[in-house]
Amino acid sequence: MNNGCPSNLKLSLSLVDNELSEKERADIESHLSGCARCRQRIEKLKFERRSLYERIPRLDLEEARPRPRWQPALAAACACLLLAIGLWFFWSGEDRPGSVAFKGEAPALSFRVERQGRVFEGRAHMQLRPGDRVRFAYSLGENAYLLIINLDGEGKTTAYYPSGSDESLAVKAGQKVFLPGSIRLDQYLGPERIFAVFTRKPLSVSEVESAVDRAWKRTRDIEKIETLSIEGYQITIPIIKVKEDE
Amino acid sequence: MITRSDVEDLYRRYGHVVFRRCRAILGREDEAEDAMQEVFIRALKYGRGFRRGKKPLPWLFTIATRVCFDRRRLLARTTGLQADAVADPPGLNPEQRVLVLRHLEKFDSLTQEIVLCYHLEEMTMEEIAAHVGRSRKTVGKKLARFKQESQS
Repeated sequence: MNNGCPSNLKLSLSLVDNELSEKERADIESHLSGCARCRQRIEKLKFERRSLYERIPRLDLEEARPRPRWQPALAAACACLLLAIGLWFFWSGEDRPGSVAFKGEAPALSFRVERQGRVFEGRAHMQLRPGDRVRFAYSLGENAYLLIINLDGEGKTTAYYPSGSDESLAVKAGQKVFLPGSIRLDQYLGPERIFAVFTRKPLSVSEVESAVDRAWKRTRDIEKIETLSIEGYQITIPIIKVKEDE
Repeated sequence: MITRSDVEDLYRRYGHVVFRRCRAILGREDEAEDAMQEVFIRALKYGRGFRRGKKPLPWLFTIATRVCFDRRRLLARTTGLQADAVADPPGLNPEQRVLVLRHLEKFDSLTQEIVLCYHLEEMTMEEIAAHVGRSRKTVGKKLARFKQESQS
């Protein structure tokens, strides 16, 4: 039933240290080099594994116990600490490594997905499908320039916004402003990463593409790329594309 | 005796695999996350099946399958929905999933494990035999019996 391909369990366990023998690991490596389907499968498994441990880094093994009374006080203290850290970053103008600060709230990017007449809000680590239509919206405290680019798991970049222009386009300050048009997702299956870069001056698409390409070549692992080596306020959204029946 | 740190280590190593198992049975990410956490809580609470030096995954899978079938029943009772109809099927194709899960609940835990490994993990019979610590012949017989009874 598996046409000589490793089982899902074996592929999953190959991501765990010392779980498979040297020979099993070598067999999988050798199989992956000649099987595009399994390369996609393992990329998807890697993505899912990383997403899970990002969402639930530690288990709550105390679940059955009643919450101690001091918990609300601790939560309030944590909230104050986070607020203080946030304000410090805001005032210092260094809210992200190598990034540019903007007035007001930090720039934000969101998206909506349209699938067969249904529309729903997008989120990081979302499973999308080829053919889905994605429409981006931004929030921004002052006028700026915006460029959105996508990187797939094979290192291919696609400029999502602007389309058909060599440079990023001006966007006006506002809350949840939808960009014109939408993107129809291609047939590639596996993890992808969307980068949005807000800048004060126009940025050339080729410059950002080169930065994405350099970042890709450093790791060849889409999940490890968080920031690009260019000036600007950067937002990155990982997604994964799966087939309809998955 | 299993310790909290053993369970934390098991989660770091096998959490993603257990999560996939839960998602395949429950069909929903949110339910699967809750179920997965319950699996490790139960592992800590009832650690009798844990043997140091022995592969823990079959044991975790057995707990996961039990937790998920309990949840499916609860879900069907509390929402009035057939558990099969609650979500996208991530592991099996829709017909297989409905068929397999509807019948599997009635079988013993060994058959459940063998059938799920076969349909969900795409494992060969030899791999399943090694995974559950039984002969290939036993695996074949269990699969054949499941197929026969689920089609009758």
